[in-house]
Formats: sequence, structure tokens, C-alpha cells
Amino acid sequence: MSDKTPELSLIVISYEMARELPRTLYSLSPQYQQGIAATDYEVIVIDNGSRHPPKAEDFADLGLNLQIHSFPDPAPSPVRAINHGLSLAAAPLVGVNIDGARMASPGLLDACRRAARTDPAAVVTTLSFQIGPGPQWITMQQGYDAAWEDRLLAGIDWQNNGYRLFDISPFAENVVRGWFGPLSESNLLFLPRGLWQDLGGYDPAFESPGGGAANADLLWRALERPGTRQVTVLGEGVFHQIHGGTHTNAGSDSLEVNKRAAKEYYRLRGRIRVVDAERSYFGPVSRAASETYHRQLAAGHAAAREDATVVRMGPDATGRYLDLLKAVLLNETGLETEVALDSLRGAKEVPPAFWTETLYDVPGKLALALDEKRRIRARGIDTLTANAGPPLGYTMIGRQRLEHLQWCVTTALAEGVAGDVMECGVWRGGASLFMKAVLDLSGDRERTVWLADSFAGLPPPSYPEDQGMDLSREHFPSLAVSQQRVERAFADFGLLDARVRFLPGFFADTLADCEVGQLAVLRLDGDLYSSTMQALEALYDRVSPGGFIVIDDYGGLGQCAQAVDRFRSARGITPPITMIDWTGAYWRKS
Amino acid sequence: MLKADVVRAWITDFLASLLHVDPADIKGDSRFNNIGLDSVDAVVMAGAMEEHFNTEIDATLFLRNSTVDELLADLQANGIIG
Repeated sequence: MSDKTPELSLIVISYEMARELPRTLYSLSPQYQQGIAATDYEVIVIDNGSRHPPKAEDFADLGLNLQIHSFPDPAPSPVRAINHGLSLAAAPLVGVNIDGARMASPGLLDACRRAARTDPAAVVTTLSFQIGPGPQWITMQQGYDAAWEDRLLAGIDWQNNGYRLFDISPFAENVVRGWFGPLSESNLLFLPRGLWQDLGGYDPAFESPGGGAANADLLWRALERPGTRQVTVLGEGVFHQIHGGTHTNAGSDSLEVNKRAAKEYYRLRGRIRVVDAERSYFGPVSRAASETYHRQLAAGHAAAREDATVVRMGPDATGRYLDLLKAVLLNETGLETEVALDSLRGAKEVPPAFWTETLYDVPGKLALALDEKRRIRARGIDTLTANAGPPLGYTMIGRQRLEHLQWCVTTALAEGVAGDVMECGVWRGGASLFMKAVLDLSGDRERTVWLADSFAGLPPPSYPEDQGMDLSREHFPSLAVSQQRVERAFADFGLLDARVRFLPGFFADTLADCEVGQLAVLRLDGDLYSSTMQALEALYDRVSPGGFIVIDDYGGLGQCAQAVDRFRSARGITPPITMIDWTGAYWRKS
Repeated sequence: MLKADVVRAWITDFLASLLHVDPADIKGDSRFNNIGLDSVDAVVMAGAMEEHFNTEIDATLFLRNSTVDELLADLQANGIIG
């Protein structure tokens, strides 16, 4: 392609990744990567024993300086294949992407290159995320699969804005000790060629399938070498696609797989100690990255996307009211109490110090947990998080979906889309309360807010698609909120009037013949296939042209997405579905 | 069968090293999540302990207990320590 020696070489390991590798290579190609020229880098794919290895000619249109090699002596551990790749690398700065299912964000390569220039012995590390509603080893046990992931990726137009990968990947994988803690490993990292040689590459003693802890070992050995310095790239990341990976996608075997990896590491190294030396963090974060990335890092307080919000937080009273309302509905102002209470979860008794110290965080030990809670709340991922339950606020949809809902309602008002607004599945009413506030502020005196809910929890599963999804009151009492409590919430916020109407009962009994006329915004949050399908069948035709259909669980619950996809296909609905965040999605009726 | 005090001392040293804390801060009733131990670490500890003591331990045992005392009691109940 060019006689010029590249500045960067990146080794990518593939194994049975016919679905994932094309996306990964696209995400590394010059048409996607920003700030770096095609001749500046080479990508070397080492296939580690696939039955049908990838061929370079299949990727010729990417304009990538690409080599694909089949490793002649494949083994369950990729370590020798990586070292083979390292021997082929031509550039002075060499990176390894140990898992070819990991896509890159658009500024990753240039950021790594610039990060490496900050120190002659830089160990450039990157942040890892997993696509989908949570850690894939857990979500795959709940039905998360390639088709589900394909749906999420189709909803973000990642080829044109790869930073939206952050939006559908709320689970950060290698920051288990907090955003500024030591990384547990770096799934894509760059080192100067000489440092690779000094380290002898990856240690072939790691023979576990997938390499076990070889990647963590490599990072720790590099960081313990005198004179090296870790430089973690912010604002970029790598995103793991589900593919049956040994560690990431072990499902219910995950505990055993990770235990065996730790065992192998302990056998080889005699101790386990995460290296926590002083680090540098490399910025600046590109403008495009900052919008989505800050939602992850700064708990949603960064500026929202232009197309997703009309009213911005500003000095005006309206903006401040709505912002404060969002904070209260999400209980962002009460997170300290939630974090203190979380520390009790699973405890067999309440220690006396809880009342005198923990509840007020006198020892000052809850700051990290509080930061994490802020991030979780902004993304609306409380229900995905171990050791926590639903938020103590009025909604669990997170700040990003609330902002988007505001945009839907204000856009419908601004464009004169006719009709009321409606939510099916309201829990404690937060999203409906918020729509009512936006309507009231606009001076509207015509539109009604409709709340359809059993007000007694979800129905037990009755459709085959919902088998195993028993979210009924018996199992999830916290999801059952009475109409009286929701009404009281509207009254507490000064938002209860005759234009707030309730449709109590299961959707199957209430929606088909309900009084609801035209709708400008229809928000569905019924979790189940049955609830979603019943609501769409009863209400879709009432949505005005230009109206918004918002599906809260499209990314988070497979059976809900199935109902939406089947309904759209049966009705020939063509406007594309766009993901709002990791789970919320919407389209506008044409 | 392993001796309880030997296992307790090993767990304390292991956690202190892994979490970069003073061993004196790891008491029998310290809650794991308050000293910075998450579920991944718990599984890592299971693997290291298997290797160190040449035994087999179900990883879930490390996840269902939230203090060193509870973990030791559970290990005892499962016949791993005496």
C-alpha cells in the first residue's frame, strides 16, 4: 500500500469472528478513524485457528494497510498468536487488541499515538466497554445474543458516529476500581517496540483458553518495569461484541473461568497484586466524544446532544425548574442516603454504627460509591447493578431518557403535532410527571397526560415470548405502585389536574376501547412482549403523523424488542428506530 | 482439612495486598464492599486460595458472604476448614 514505515502497528487476534471482525476492522479503517492517515498505521490480524479464517481480500474496500495471517500452530490460548503478530510488526509503536471482537471509537488510534508521545516508555492503556445492557456474561443468561446486539448497533448509526457506541454500552469493563483507579487490564494497549522486546511479549506460560490472565499479567509486568509510565487514554474506548468469548461470554461458567484464570496467575506469579502506580491521563477529549463520553464519566451533567434536547440548562427559571425536577425525579439529590442504604444490602443485621456514622458518611468512605451511583443514575442502569435495587426516586429511566423525553414533548409542541401524551407502564409516575411539567410550562391547556398501568405490578407471563419473565408483584413487589401513590406524587409536585387521566388495569383489558384520541407522544414501558404488543396494537393508529413512539425497554429486554420488531414488520413501518441510550429507542411516525 | 487460623491469616494478607490496604484494617467483621472488594475480586481470591491450599472451592461461596468471619464460617460448614 505504501513504502512508508507506519508509525503504529496494531495486532488483532481473531478466532471464529465472522460476524464481529468486519465491524472491528471497519472501526479501525481510515474511513472511520479520525486524525490519522491510512499510511500512518498497519493492522495485522492473526487468526488463531478459525475453521474459515478471514481473508484480506474481503476487506480490500476498507483502504486499510492490512495483513491477515493464519497462525500455523493455534492453541486455545491466543498468547503465542499474539507474539507471532508482534514479530511481524513494523512500526515503532505496537498495539495489541487481544480480542478481535472489540470495536474502536473513532479517535482511538490517533489518541493512542499522541498519548505515546508524552513519555518515551509509555504504556498506553484504553478503557473497555461491553455492548448491551450490562456485563455480557450476565445479560447472555437473560437472552442477550448476536441478534439483540445487531439491533442495538443498527439503532445508533455507529459507522457515521462511533462515539454513540458509548450510549449502548453502559458497562465499563476494566475500571472495577473506579474511573481513576488502576485498570484490571487493558484490552487494547500500545507499547514502544523496545518495551515489547524487553518484556518478551506475552508469557506463553499462560495456556488457559482465551489466555487466562495473560493480558493483566502483561500490563502489570510492563508497569512494574522501571521507567515506564501508564498513560490512560480518555474519551475513547473499545467495545466488546458478544461472540462466545472465553471470559467475557462464559455465561454461567464465568465464575469458574475467572477462578481458573486467577489460579493460573497465582501459580505462575505467586501473588496477585493489581499494580497501582502513578498514572497520566491523556486528553483532550474530542468534541464529538465528549458529548457521549461525559454522560458516562460525569454522570450525565455534560451537554446533551443537540438533536436530543431543546431546553438547555441555563440561567432562566424554566430551565432551572426542569433541571431541578429531573434531579428530584431521579433522586439525584438523595443519592447519599441511597448509597448508605446500599451498604446494608445483604447484611444479616444493621450494625449500630450505621445510624451514627455510615448514614451520614462520617468516615468519608462512601465517596467512590457515590460517584458510581451518580453515573448509574444518569444512565438509568440501577436495575442492572448488583447490590442495588430500583432507585428511591420517581423514575428509573435515567437522565438521558428524561432529556430525550423532554425533546420529544417540546418538539411535538413546537411543530404542532396534534394529540395528547401517554405512558403505558408508569411505575411511580416520574416520566409522566415530567411530561406534564413540560406541557404546563409551555402554556398548553389542551393536551392530556394519560397514564395506563395496572397499578398493581406486571401481569404474570402468559405469552410464550414472555416465558421465564415473571415480573409480577409476587416476585417484584417494588414494581407494584398504586394509583393513589402516583396521584399523590402529581399532587405533591403541584401537577395534578383534570388533564391527568388514569387508565387502571392490565393493558389487555383497558387499552383497546379506551377514550384516548390522538397522541403526539406515546411512551411504552411495559417490559413484556404481551404489554408492548397490546399497547402498540391498541394505540399506534392513534399516534399523529410526526408523533413519537418511545420504547423504554427496546435495548434492555429481548422480548420487548421482539414485539416491536414484529409489529413494525407486520405493519410495514419504515422510519428507522434510533437508540436513545443503552435501552431506550424511538421512532417518529411518518 | 485446613486450619481456620492459617486460612484467616492468608485471607487477610491476600486482601491487604490485592486492595492496597493495611492488614490491620481488615477485621473479621469488616464488610468486603466497604474495604473495596468486588465480586470479581472475590472470584480471584477463590482461584488464588485454591492454588495456595491445593484444594477445590466453589466460587459462589466467596460471593455469598460479606465478611471474613462469614466466609470462614461458610468454609467451615462446607468442610473445607476445621
